[in-house]
Amino acid sequence: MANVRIDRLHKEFRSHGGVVHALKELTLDIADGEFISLVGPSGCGKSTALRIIAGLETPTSGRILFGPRDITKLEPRDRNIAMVFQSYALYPHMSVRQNLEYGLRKRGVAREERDRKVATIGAMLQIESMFERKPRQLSGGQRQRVALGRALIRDPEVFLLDEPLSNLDAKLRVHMRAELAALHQKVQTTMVYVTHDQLEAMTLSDRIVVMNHGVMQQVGRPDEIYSRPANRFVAEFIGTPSMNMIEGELRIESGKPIFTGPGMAIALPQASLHMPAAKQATLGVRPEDIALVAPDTPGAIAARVTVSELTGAERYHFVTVGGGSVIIRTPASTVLHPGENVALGLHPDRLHLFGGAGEDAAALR
Amino acid sequence: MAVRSGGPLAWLRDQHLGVILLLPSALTFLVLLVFPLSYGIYTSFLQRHVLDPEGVWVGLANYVWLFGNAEFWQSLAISTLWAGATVGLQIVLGTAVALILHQPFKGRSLVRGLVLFPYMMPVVSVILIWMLLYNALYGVLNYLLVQTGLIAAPIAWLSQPGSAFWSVVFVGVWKYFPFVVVIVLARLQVIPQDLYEAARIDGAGAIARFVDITLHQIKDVLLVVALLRTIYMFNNFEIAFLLTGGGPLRATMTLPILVYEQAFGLYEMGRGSAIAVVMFLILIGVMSVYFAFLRKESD
Amino acid sequence: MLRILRTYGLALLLLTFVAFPLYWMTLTSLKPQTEVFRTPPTFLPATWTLEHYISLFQLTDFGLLFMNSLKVCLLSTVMALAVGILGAYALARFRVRGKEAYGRLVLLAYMFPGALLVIPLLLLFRELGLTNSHLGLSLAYLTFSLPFVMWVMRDFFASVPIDLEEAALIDGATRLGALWDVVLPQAVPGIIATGIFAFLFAWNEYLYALILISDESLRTLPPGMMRFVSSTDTNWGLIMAASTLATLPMALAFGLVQRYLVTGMGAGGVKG
Repeated sequence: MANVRIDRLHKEFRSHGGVVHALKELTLDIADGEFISLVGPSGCGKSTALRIIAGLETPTSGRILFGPRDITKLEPRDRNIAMVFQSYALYPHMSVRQNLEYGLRKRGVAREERDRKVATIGAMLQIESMFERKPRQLSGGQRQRVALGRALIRDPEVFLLDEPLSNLDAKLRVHMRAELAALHQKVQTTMVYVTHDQLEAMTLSDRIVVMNHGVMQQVGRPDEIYSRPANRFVAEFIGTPSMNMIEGELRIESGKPIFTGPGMAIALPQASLHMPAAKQATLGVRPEDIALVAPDTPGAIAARVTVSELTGAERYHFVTVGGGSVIIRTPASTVLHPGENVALGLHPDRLHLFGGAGEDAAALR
Repeated sequence: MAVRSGGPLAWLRDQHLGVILLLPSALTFLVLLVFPLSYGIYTSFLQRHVLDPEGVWVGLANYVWLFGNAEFWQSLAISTLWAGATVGLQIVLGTAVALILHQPFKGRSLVRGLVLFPYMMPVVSVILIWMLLYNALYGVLNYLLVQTGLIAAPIAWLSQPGSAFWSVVFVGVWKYFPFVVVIVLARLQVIPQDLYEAARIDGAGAIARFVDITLHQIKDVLLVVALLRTIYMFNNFEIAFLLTGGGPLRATMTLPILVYEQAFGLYEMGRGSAIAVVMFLILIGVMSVYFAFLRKESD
Repeated sequence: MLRILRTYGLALLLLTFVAFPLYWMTLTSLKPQTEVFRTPPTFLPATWTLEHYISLFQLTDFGLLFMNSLKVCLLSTVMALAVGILGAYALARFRVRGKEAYGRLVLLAYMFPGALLVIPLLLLFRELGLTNSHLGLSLAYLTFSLPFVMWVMRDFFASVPIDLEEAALIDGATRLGALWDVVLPQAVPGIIATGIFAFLFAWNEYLYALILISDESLRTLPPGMMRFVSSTDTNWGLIMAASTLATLPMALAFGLVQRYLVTGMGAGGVKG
């Protein structure tokens, strides 16, 4: 067991006539026993970071420490890590038992000790009945368990998981997600989890690292990431459906900050705001933070419904406001019809304001 | 768990191990291909008898002799025609057979297997079979053709300049067409079935479906196969040499046989090498077409 | 219905085209000498006989030729596999500078004209005492079987998921350990198929065997069999028996490699 310190980790790839920065100066401290997720779109550097921790890639610069031990230059076999792969990477020609004990054999663990550990892990993951089967005779969920077992059996210092649930069907994924959470509770090993699925990251993690273009965008508890996104990228990436982004201008009118966008002028709570240098700004508001209000409510925004979708317990309504499109999320009981005119009110404490217009636009607080 | 330090190979980084694993093959290529190739090119500038340990440097004399020699130009023409004819016929026949074997019928897998036999057999066995079949006196080919009235009298297939060349081409096609069958068949099997269904819905008839879908899908593969087979057939020595020895009257004297004649018949190592070098240069031209095509494919 | 009949008709035509010469070979080998020359020819032997097969071993050196061929081809196949597998693995897996160029060179090597190599190989091998040597001939066969093995096995290794090796590395294996424990077991069918092809290419080769071996006792099958054809008195029954037996290793291998034919042939199309 160890805490992990990632210190200014940098990775460049040379490809056709150019240099790609897969990872830029990543610095991160992971506490002993913490479950931390790296999340982001494909190509954001999350997998590269994981593979460097595993020792499958060498960093261009930077260091990794497990506890006091600098492991940057060690081979994977000398790092005392375990990894679960997206494809599970079970050895096809070996039985489940042989798969489980391969790592122990390679470390010269004696026969009795191996048998004991295989039995323990088998019981923990309920795979004892399939020890003699080959991986191809197992279902997706069973393979997943064996892959977890092969990682767990070695009591690694750090447990690395590379999109381990993405090959499962939707129902099984939810189930395994819960099992994984329970497993982490039980073994209390440091786990680094890579996923592109923000829902997995939100539900499993102690902390989430959001990455984009090789750069860490924000690190924090799931609720922090959701309620106080550091920039426009994080705000849009986390949450389904995505946060609405309305571009407009910010100015002071009689001492109060006002955001004006297409078809709206909104008075903002004053206290939390640093005024940006430029007047250009983006207002972010989550679909559930928009309410339907009476048309005569002060500050109400006029909108027209284009489409409504029922997802089950909820409805998503697509409305146009001053030419732009906005999504609203309501309980299923709220029925709106295309072409209907409605009035919207924004939850004043849950507005996000970003200076400028690009992905990197930082939250103004 | 205790952490063991690296074993005896711990100093190996990826790069080193990769180089070490490549070393044996690189050495083999160096000794058995690169060096002989250079030595062959060097020899083409020598006058050297096979038993002569050194040879005499004659500069471009072998090449001057070569380009002024009518037999060389004749052989170049014969080789070109040989490669063109055998490859063209292999492609047409191979594609046709692949299309037949793509249809479902009883015993198809047996026929598919059998079709490959000529390709996999020893050249010498093939040659001996065809010598017997072509035999002027008691060959079964003559018997059948006379019986069916296609020819009036038995023909000495391999000993008349007119018929010898095409008889040799026929054997070349018979032996090597299965290669085309395998490759085209493999390609046919991965044409998405919904393309045909879509075309049917769009009102395309059988011929239109064949031309617009089947032919269109396999044309890239055919082009690659044609290039590869051209290189192979141009290099092919055995078929013509064993059936006719290059005769009659040099009618089947391809360039590889000319190399053999100079080097091992007349013991002129220098002249033989010069012909081989010219062949190699021609093939490099063909190969660059191949690589240019591959590059276009991968883009 | 018409379509089905047409398919069967064409299949039958094809079968005749391919199988008749093979049938004639086997048939002739089983006819007595007198019947071979009979006109009209018999399409089923009037008398069946194994006399040609017996005299092949009693009166000719066919047995010796066969064993010599076997020895040379096995030797060159083992060398090609041992050297080629390592190289192919490196080409498939390692980031080595100039790897692409090397891979392309391998393909180029594969297309070298035999006629170009045979002269310098003879001159060099004579210096090294490798003419009239089975080792020498096996080395000469490496000029085509090694590029072949590397080209095919590279694709095979590339098709083994890299995750498996990475999992083995993390489980505590070295690079070579991962190759041995995890990759090679996956590649066994490919190795067998590739080996069989390399063997057959060597088995069928004629020119190098003719030029590099002149000692009668060391001669291999292809040039040896051609000597059975004499200008005056050719015993076709005997020759067809030899042809049939020379085809036997191919027929045996056939069942084994049929599944992998396309991979093998894809590369074999250049040489082979």
